[in-house]
Amino acid sequence: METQTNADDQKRLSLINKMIIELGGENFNYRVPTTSKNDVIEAIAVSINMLADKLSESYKNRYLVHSREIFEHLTDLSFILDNQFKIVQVTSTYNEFVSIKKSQLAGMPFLDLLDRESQEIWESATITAKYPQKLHLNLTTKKKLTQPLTFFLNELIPIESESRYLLSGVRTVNIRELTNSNAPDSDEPLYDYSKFLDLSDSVLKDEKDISIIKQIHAHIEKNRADALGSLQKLANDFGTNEFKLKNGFKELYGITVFKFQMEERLNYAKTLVESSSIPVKAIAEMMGFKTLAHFSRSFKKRFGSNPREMRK
Amino acid sequence: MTMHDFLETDYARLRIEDSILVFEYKPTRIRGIELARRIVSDRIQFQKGRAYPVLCDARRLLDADNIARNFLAYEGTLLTKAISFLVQPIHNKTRAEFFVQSNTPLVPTGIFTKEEKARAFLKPYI
Repeated sequence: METQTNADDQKRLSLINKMIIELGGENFNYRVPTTSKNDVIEAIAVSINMLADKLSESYKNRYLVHSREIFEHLTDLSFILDNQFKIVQVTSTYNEFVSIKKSQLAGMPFLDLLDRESQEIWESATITAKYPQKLHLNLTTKKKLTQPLTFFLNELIPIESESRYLLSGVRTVNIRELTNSNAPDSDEPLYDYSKFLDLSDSVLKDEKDISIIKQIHAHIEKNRADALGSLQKLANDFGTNEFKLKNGFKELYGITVFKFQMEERLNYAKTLVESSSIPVKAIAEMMGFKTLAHFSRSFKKRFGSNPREMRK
Repeated sequence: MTMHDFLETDYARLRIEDSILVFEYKPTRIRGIELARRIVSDRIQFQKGRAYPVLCDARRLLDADNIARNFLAYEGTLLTKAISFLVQPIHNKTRAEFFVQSNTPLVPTGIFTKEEKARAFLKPYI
């Protein structure tokens, strides 16, 4: 029994190792399959999956700061299913995702491509029969790791046809890798990626500059209802200067300091307007607006209707 | 405690107890923004505009994906004075630690495996 457990743990550890290697190769799309066990290996698996979420997010942000063209959301894996949710056809990109032979795919229940947790989600989704439906599912991949993808399940018409459902998978793709693999013979790279993470054109010269801007971002998040005062004072409080704060913040987050604070206030206010019966005037005060008129105007500009209209 | 101080949804039980909001998750996987929004919105409605210290009993919470975690880390703090997470040792605790570590908490936040300690943490915010 003990050797059984050890062999099982070995397998789980080797999946974690594969995952770390994938992360090292800048592939943030995979995840370690989780189990119901409550031990240190499971804790590490969970941490690595969350780390992958975090890395993929900040990596995308870093890319977006410097080039908006490298990451893109693509629908590049679609299935056509019959009335029993068996695969009728699949896009030719399938082999990037699943390691099953083309000949075996046809007629196979889509369910068989999923990990256990996703199988449950899939089963209840197909029973609900509500379309279109958005589903977060994990495909089991070649390397035995799972790949989370967002799917949209849609009904096809006319319903007399054998093809009853269209299932489209969406993922975030590194265009750099795609470009390279699609044009292996090309001598000239399509883009110059050597400037990736190159801070030489930036007002933020080093990690410390970036870290200060991040601190100010966090400060605004925490104190969204407080008046910001002047940029100069804010910059001084955090040990930077107005120029770096103004331009660096915009560069890092794609939004100005004041607009960011306004966005924060309005987003929270919207949740309160929609979910509570707190008077609109009180919400305006809680979020730091000096007058109700200013709050209503800004709210309408952002969401298309003023707070009172939204409540109706 | 009156009857309206209790709310049961498909994912949690909420009650006000000694001026603390006790939010007890049922076995749930939080996938996507829709459920995360509902969790915040149900709680805010339940609180009727008052802010509370929150005891979030996440011992039976199975999982929350990145979209949900991001939403809960920010909007999830609306009308809270402080939050203590009550978790199970090992991987449930690891999740909570990662969550708190990677999203700068907007209100005082603690992680505990013992209920008394979780409650004690909230005392100053009552």
